[in-house]
Formats: sequence, structure tokens, C-alpha cells
Amino acid sequence: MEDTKRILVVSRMTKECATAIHYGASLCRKYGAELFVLHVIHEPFVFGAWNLPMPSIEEAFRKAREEAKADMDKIINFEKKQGVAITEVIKEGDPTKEILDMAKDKDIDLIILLSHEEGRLEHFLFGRSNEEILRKMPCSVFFVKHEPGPPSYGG
Amino acid sequence: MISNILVATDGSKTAKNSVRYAIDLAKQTGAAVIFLSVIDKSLFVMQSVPAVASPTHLKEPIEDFLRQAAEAYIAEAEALCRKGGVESRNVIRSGHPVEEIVKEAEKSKVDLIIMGAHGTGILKTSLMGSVTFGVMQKDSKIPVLVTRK
Repeated sequence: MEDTKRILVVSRMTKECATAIHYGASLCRKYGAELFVLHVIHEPFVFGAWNLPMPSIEEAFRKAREEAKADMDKIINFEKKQGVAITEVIKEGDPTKEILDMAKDKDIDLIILLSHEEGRLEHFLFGRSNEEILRKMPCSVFFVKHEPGPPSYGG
Repeated sequence: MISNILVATDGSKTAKNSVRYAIDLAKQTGAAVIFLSVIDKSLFVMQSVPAVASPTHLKEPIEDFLRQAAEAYIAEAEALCRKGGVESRNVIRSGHPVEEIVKEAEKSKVDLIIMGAHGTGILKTSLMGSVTFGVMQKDSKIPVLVTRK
């Protein structure tokens, strides 16, 4: 039985990732583990490559990311005050590669990430990242699907 | 946050690891554990022949044998729970594993499903299918923790 001493929460800079951080922090408190939060920035639309002006989409995407980060900062700061050791890392690139690299580098025991039901097209276009991680299985993987209730965090 | 854990087990080495993982997590969180074993009838060769011609004198003993095996490895898991002071109960069902796991998880209102995975390659997964992938992609709001071999 492996000990759970280092937990990695994967954040894709969306508001829903706060749930994964909430689970991660809660488990860290139970196990007395160290928490790593990996923010992976991956722009699926590659704005520049379209050779079309898309300021509204780019701007909306950036704004959503900033709002999500502000939400997560609130949670992370709250958990730090509660005594949970949290290390944040921001990486840009292919999510699967970044997650697997970090799991190996930091000798992670448990990865926590978001998952949801996917249609065939969505799965084909975007959804293979979780599957790839599950195939490689660098350690145990926790797929969060459900909001555990509205957690209240101080500002 | 986690007060009920469902562990899907088939008695394999990987499943035994997820049983130990679940008991350890239950000790930390004070959760109760439900051990579920599903007898996959689709694996019986007799299912492919018409019901009238189905040799029940062969089919029933196989199902009984698998049920006894499930009872044995679930009893082992429950003994581990008693030793660790973790509350537990067991459920044995027949049917399609993915359907039965999700059905039982929703019926028992569990907060987490724990299962094992081998970390198989693309070809093996495509050919043999995977209960873990099935549960992950099912329309259920319950989190899934996949433990390593």
C-alpha cells in the first residue's frame, strides 16, 4: 500500500477546477500530505493561426481565465491559512505531457483532476487527455465529477 | 465530504490494491465502505445460444462458482475492514459491470467509487474494453478514484 504524501491537483484555469482543489486540500489535511496545484494553460483555438481577427473570443477567454484564477487564489489562500502546504506551478503546453512530467518529477502519489461525460465528438476532439493519463497511470488518479456542496472561503 | 465509498472488486491483484486503498482512505475520513462484486454474465459462452437450447446444467454451476468466489474475496476484504475498525457491507450482483456499479453507487448514495486499473495500452483497451473507462464516462456525478496496479 502506497502512502499518500504528495497530491497533485490539475487546474485548467476554469471555475470548475475549484472543486478539484477543494478535494485536494481536504485529502491533504486528512493524510498530512503536501499539495501541488498545477495550472495548465492550453489554448485550444490557437487564435493567431486562424489568420482572422477574433478579439472578442480571445478577450473573453482571457477574462474567464483571470476570473477562474482569482477564485482559485481565494481557495488556495484560505487553505494555506489552515496550514496546508501548497505549491503552485503554472505551465503552458500539452496538458497530458505537463501532468505526467510533473507527476514524475515531484514523485506524486495521487493526481486529482476534473472529468465529465463526453459525447463521441467531444471525446474525439478534446477528451483524450484524461484517458491518456489513465493509460499511463503514473500513480492513482481521482476524477472529480461532482460539486461537493458550496464551500465557503474567506476573502 | 467522503462518508460512503463504493469499491468495485473482482478479486484480482489490482482490485485487492484498491480494497486496501479504500480502507486506508476510510480510516482517514471516517467513511463506510461498500464492496461490490459483479458477476459478468456476458462472459458466459452459453449466453450466445438460444434460451431454449441453453444448457442450464452447465450455466448454473458456473454462476454459483463465481458467486462463491466473490463471497470469498469480499469476506477477505470485510475482515480487513473489521481489523481496521472501518464499517463495511457487501453487495454481489449479476449483470453488466459498468451498469451495475453505477446503479449501486447511485442507489447507495456513495460519495466516491474506487476501482483498480492496469494501465493498459490502446490496443488492449480497444479489444477488451474497460470497466474503469466505462464508469468514468457514464453519466454519473460520482467521483471515481482509480488505483494503480
